[in-house]
Amino acid sequence: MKDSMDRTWQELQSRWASGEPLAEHEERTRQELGRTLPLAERELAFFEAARTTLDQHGAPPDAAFVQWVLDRAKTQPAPHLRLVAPGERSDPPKRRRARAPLLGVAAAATALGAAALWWQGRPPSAPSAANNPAPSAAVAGAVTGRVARSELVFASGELRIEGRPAEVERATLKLKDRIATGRGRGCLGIDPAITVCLGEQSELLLDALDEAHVQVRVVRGEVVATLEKRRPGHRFTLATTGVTAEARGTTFALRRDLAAGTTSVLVVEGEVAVRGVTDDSSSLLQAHQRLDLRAGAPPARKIIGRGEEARLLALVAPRELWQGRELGVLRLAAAPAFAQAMVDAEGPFDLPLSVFTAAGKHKVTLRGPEGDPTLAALDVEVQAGQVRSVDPAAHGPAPAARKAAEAQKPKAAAELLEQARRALGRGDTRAALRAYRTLRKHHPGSPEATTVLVTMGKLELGQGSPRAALTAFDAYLARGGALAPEALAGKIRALRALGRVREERAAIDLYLARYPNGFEAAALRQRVGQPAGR
Amino acid sequence: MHPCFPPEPGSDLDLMRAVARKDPRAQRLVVERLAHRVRRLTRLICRAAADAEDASQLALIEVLRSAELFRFDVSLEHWSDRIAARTALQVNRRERNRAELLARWLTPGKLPWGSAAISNHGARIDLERFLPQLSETRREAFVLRHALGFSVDEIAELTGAAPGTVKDRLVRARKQLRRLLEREASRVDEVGR
Repeated sequence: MKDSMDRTWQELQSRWASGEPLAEHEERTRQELGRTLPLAERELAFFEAARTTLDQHGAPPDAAFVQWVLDRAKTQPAPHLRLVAPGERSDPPKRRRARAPLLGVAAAATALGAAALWWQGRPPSAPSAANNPAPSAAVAGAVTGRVARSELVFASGELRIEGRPAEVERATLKLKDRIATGRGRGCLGIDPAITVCLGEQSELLLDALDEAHVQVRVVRGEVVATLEKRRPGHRFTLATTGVTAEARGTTFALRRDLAAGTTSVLVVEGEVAVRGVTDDSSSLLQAHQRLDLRAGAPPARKIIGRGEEARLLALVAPRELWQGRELGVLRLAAAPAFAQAMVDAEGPFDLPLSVFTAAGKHKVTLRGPEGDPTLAALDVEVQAGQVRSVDPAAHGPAPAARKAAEAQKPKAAAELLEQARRALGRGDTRAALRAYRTLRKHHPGSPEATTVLVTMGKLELGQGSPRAALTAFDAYLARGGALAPEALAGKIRALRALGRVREERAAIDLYLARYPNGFEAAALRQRVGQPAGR
Repeated sequence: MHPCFPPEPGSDLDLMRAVARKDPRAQRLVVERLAHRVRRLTRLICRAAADAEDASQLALIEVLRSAELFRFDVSLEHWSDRIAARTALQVNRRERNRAELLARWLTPGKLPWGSAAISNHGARIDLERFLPQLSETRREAFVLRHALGFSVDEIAELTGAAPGTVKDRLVRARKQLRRLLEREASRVDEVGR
């Protein structure tokens, strides 16, 4: 009997510890077994200690450490990048004189590159002097003369190269080729191990294709690059007017909004050096940071939200399809009944679609316009070195019942959080509260369902509903967590608004006992007439 | 008679706005308030005390520098936890690749502000005994999940591992904990006999 209980405990506890949400009855069983089995009880106590370990109050920090941090914070260099507005004169660059000879070297080396390309006998469209102009000052630097192979590896929806609709495996790309998307996206593979993807309504130009320095110029829209670590002396940059962003091994993006006159550099992984082309200033951006630049305004460094990062990573996600040594090409034509396709777990991608993909069997699911469920699913075999063309028009839609079932699917927690944040951003508190309630209803076991309670409490308080706010704060406090001080402070405000003076006093006493150094502590001590004593 | 209440207590948002304006009093208040928590957290994630101190310092500087980005829908502690966790993970990664880095600016045995490099953070003995037995990746996953409450997807994003790998690390860490508890229980039994 005890063995069977222990087995159940082991199974439930392992699932719980790995972050898997348990059903209500499973969680009850886990708690009961935790009270029954001695080892389980110790384990539960251990996890509880881990959960609350950061909320333990320790000795006040030593003054020398605090002073050290404050001093170092003062001496951190602030970024001083700026964009030069059209017609505006930039400050004379400090090293301009040194650049002129480099420019000459770069031009000569590019000519060498063209010769090397001809010697290697590839690609079929060997570059001529006309389509291989000298690189701009921004791309001058060490060059090897070896051309970095570049080609389209993924094209979905509307994508054009030099104004003509493009598919993968038609030709390699050459210097100064211009790739543009409308309602579509695409990715380039550039040797060695660089993937550059364009979002919708975006345009790029291949500015430099030397093996030692590849530069992609973002004309408009959003371009995301992901690359393995460069060898010493090898560089990769995304550039636009006035700014270059250089990385040695990372995932990062450059966004240029022509209408708003803004440029942003966004770093998802690794580090990126951002430089002003005209004034030589530079700044190092870390992972999860972005730098917004606007003509005539100081640069603004911000933290990237998870939603934005997820969107950027989604742009480069198709690269999973062309991993492996044996590749073929999958082409799906446009068809009136279908708008999008998924290939294995990747997508959805707008049709028409052409992509390099690993040889073997792939599951292709065809969908209607955005948001519509699966209409047809088919297995497609791609052979190494071959092009497999599929005409979706030959496949009929699935039964309507499946369509309806898919449409009922609730939104993901992260999506609802993002929806709430957007609503808060435009000041629509009611819509934000609706999104938070939906999140709690559909994802009751998620960590977000608990965390949002504090925000909900604050919003309810702001809406003049202290009773609803109190319910939210109490619910959070019952569960506990890192936001407990904030929730307790919110509860105090809610009780005050309800005129429940005695309960408010008790809550204040509790706050001061638990968080004597909390941010609200000084004001609360004043409120109850206690002497300030830290 | 109602007591005469002073104005509404200031919020974290007000505090961080003051930090963004470079108000020295607010900056000091924030560092004093968060220092213990940040040092505790980095100590959980980093194996070496010197790395943890390095990460604490960088994380607190980042908190001050990013003050204008603070949003009202999270608590200051929660917000700084994320910065501290990211910083500690970065320091771990950096140290994996460049173990000699600290030697360039630290006198052996001394921290930059003159304290001894080995410090006692007053941690609970169970957690402190358990964490050193885990591999670095399991330790990171364990702390992010069970001390910080991050989801598997969030941990995957922070550590650059696939969600399945994160789950596997969490399960294995839990099994190691179970074995430790079993060993302790059998030792207590032996002493009892």
